[in-house]
Amino acid sequence: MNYKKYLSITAFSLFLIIFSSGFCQASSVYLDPEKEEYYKGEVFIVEILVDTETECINTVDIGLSFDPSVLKVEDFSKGESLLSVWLKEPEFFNEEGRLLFSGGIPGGYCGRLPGDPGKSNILGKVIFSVKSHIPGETQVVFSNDSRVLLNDGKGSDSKLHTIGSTFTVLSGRSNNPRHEWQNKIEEDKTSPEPFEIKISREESVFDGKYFISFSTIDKQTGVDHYEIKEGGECWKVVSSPYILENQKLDKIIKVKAVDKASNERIVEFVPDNNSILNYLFLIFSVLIIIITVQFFYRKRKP
Amino acid sequence: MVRLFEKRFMFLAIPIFFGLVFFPFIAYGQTATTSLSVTVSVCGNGFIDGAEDCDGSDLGGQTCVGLGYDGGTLSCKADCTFDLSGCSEEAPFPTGLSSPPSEKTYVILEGIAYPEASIDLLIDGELFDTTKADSEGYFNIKLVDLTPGLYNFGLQAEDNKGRKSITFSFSSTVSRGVTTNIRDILMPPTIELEKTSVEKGDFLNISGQSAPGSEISIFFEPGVIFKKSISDQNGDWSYSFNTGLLERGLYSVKAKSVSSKGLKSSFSKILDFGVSMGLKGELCFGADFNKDGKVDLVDFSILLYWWNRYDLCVDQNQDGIVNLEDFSILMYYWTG
Repeated sequence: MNYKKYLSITAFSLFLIIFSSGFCQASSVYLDPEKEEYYKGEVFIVEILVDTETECINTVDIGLSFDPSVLKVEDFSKGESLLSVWLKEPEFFNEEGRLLFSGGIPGGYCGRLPGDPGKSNILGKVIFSVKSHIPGETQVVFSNDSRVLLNDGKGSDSKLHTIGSTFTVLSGRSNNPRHEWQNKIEEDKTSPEPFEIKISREESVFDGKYFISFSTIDKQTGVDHYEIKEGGECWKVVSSPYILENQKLDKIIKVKAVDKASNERIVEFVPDNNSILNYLFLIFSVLIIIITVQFFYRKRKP
Repeated sequence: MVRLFEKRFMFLAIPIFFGLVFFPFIAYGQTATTSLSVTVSVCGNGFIDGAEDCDGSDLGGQTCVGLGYDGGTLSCKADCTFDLSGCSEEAPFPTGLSSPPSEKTYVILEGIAYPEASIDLLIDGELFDTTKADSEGYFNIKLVDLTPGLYNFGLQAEDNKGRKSITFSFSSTVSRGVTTNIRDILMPPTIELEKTSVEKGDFLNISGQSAPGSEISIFFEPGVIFKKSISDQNGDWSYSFNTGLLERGLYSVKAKSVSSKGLKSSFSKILDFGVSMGLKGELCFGADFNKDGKVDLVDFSILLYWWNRYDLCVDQNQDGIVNLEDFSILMYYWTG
């Protein structure tokens, strides 16, 4: 018998089984467009997408690398993102050519539903501009420490495949330079979605002080930042969670969500022991007393 | 001749042998994966998709006569069902044009949970509404005028014995002026263990609810054990598992179901149990760090406070640090 032959068949069988089983559980993150050509000065949008195959995922931790001498990140849009809880807000470092973000999908995401008319697998959109005029190719790739975690209640890693993009810088200048992001900004006339301010106090965190939690979504260009106003104080840019300056909880708390197109949504929290309400109550009480006194005074008058 | 047959047989036998040996492991690996029956159809886009009867002027070739009437003009309602008002059982008469597409934006979520279950709807991670399933477990939720865009919908059901399902989530794009139908949702079964620690050889009772008449597949990990049960007319299912099949150690169990109409659910909650040993302390089981019965933004805030540090409660997987794995566990148990 030709044992070498059987050995090779055995090895091949094992390889096929292990290879195929390995691919049963894997997610892919990739960029769209995969290839494109641009001139210096053009601004374009690159979508970061996920394909979960047959898995359910709930967390992504993504890093992108690019050549900082060729490309510059102008912005990041959370607009049509699948992620609704942002663990690490998108951060980009144009000098190093890096971009990072992490977030989660409450309850998980098991892939696009059959019949869904839209792209429901977008993690985020990176807005790049071309800063180099030197013709040639440049790549945007996922960093090796990018992770996708399964929705399995244990925080297990999904085996991850990444596919980056290759962009070509063309010589000369475009007569009609693209500015895809500007168009999106101009189209966005809708405020971020309504949301709620949750006020809490836990002995074990934030030194037992009152803090607020808030989050919302903007379906178009994405939330840019949040601002807070406690009572008569000025608006200031903050992030959630936020430790309240006024720990007496006697002033109205307002939180403003501002999207990339500067549309706003303001929500407020009126505490039970609100000072304005107390003041109004005091005025009302004084008025009642004055009217009552006057009434009895007139009655006694002959 | 015999030797030739033997050689050919060996050619097939080796891959088959290894295939059979490794299949259970591959099958076990796939217990982490899932396939669902949920579908989306868009009513108002002008063509029939999903379970629609019609869409705008697209009647799928159907006519009043084809539907058993004598004549008339068939049209389509805004909810993509046939409008039979123009059909007649006598002489045909001219009617108006088909219904104009609805100006409103609707999302309809339809599916089966458990009889009389209370169902929470989460939109983008926030609790939006609560509804009730009927006596057979069917539910229907209609949402009006959502802002067009991508939505992450989540459903969590509580059965009539107070057991809560895992949040079942899915994403869909909502377009302006059309009705998005998300049908064939089968809520994952609820699951409960009689006890969390058993002696080897004892029987462990596992129970829960699903849609009535569903086939329940129960998976035990680690290992390659999977069992089946059927839910009765009240949606109740149970299984008495012989732990004599397991060695001393820690195990987890989860279930998924296939309804009598062939709809498939995702996995239930995962519950842990020990055989001849107790479970580790469950100080903050299920990522409810402030123990208010909800897993929401406040718990996320607490996780952020402890980020890259250690806290006995927030470090859900007890690896010594609050990190991405703990955030993933929080997302898993999220209730909004």
